[in-house]
Amino acid sequence: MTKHLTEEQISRWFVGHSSVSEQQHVQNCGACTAELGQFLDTLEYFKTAVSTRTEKLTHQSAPSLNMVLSGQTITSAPDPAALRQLIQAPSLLVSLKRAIVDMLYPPKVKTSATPIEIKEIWSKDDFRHTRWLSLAVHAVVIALLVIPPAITGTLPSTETIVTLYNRSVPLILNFPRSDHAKNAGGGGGGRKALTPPSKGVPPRGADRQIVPPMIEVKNLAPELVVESTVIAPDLQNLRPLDLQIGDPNGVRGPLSAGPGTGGGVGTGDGTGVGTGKGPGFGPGEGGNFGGGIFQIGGGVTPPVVVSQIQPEYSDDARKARVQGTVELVIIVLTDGSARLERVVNSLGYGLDQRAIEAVTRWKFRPGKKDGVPVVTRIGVAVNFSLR
Amino acid sequence: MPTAVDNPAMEIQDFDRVVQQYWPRILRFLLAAVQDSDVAETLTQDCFLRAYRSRHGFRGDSSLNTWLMTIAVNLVRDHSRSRRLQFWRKAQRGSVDSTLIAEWLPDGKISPEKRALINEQVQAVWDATANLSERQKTVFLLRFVEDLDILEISEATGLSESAVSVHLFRAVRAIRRRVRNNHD
Repeated sequence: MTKHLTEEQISRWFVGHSSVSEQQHVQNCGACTAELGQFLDTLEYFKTAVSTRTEKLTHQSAPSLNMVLSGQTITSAPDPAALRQLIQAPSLLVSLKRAIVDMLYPPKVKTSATPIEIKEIWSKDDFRHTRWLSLAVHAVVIALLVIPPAITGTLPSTETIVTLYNRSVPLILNFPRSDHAKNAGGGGGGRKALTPPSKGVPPRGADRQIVPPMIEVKNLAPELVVESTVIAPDLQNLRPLDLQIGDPNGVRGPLSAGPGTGGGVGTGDGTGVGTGKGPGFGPGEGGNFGGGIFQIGGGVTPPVVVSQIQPEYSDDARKARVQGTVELVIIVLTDGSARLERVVNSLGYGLDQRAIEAVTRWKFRPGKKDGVPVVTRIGVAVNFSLR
Repeated sequence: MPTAVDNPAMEIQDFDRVVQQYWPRILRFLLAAVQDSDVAETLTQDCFLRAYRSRHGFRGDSSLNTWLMTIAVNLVRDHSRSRRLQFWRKAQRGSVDSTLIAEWLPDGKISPEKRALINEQVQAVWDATANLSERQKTVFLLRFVEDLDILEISEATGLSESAVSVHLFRAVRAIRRRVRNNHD
């Protein structure tokens, strides 16, 4: 048995003379089954088409015995020879003669109708009117497009002013620029707690540390009060006394010094605060503050914008006539790309998102320390104004 | 008690009912055979006229449908013979239903592409049928339009069952070839 049925086999199948093996093949072969089915469908469509045509002809003249017998003389006696008789038709010679005569002398149709003149639909047209009409219509359309904007005035334009500034941290942790800041420093600590360090602010920075930062004060009536500090000379501002000591990157919840070690606060090691190592504050080590992300100053050059796109006004803000400044803190990576760290000042109305979308697409020449590109934290102020 | 349906000889007594019942079938076969609506209607009328005249000779040996189809087949044969002789009338041939399938497909139920494809296939079968020999055409139409089996076709045409099978095979092969060529 070949792979598929041949045309002969298919035709034989339709006659009902296919062999057993052919029938089994049809049952197992989807392609042959589809081929047979397709032709069956075609035949069915053909039958339906003929039937539909027949129905139309039947409806035009309802068949009845009277119709069959109309104009016929019927005798009562049966006529066995009726089946062998042809339809009464003109003889061949008569029909041939009639055809020759019609061909040589075509019958003429006599009519009494007289021709009347009518306007030719394809006569030469007067283009002057149509030309001017077309010109007038075009002029009206163009005028409608141009005049209304001139009358109502122009749409309000927008202006966005973007400035970079070195403001990158909250006010309570204001690190002024200093040429002596050791930006790569840091510290860490913890007391091997089971929970993450609780959120709070690090203690005051100082040149020396007598008491490491403590989450809880066990002795409420000490004989000698000694303030806890971290070794971070540049962390000059006083910590507001009503704020709880803790890790700024900690979690809100029960007081906890964190799972780190060394006696400080955080997840690092040391008597400082943070994830680093040492008596300072931040992810670095060796005291002072900072870490992987550098602040501008102290030998760290700021990143420089090499390509930027201006943020666009959002429709909601334009309609509401909102103006103001969106302040962002972004991290500029060593490859020159920027990512958002946080929004410091929000305007809403979609302006924040517009500012973020634009600033994060800027390309920078990264900041450098000792000639080496480093990750830097900078602030960006995006001013939206309508004029 | 045998009913009129069971006994064709009784059924034919109510000839008005016979006309109303079998007229569409005979007309359908003749329309597909001669492909001319005017001629088909004329031949249909002749068929029933002859059947009426010879109704008393019908013994019920075959079904009434087969008997009427026999008359219709003979009329088609006679008509074809007459047309062949009257070669000068071919130029004045009656309307061929070239728009046979233009209106039968219901709108909205199939896509236009599918409709066009079906139209092409049906037209191909129609054209291929016209090019078949008289016997192949008769056998093909009786089998696939009138749904008669081989035995009934043999009775209606006077051919042997093997001859009917051969003509049917050749007709199907020719039509499939025409449909395939039209699709390609």
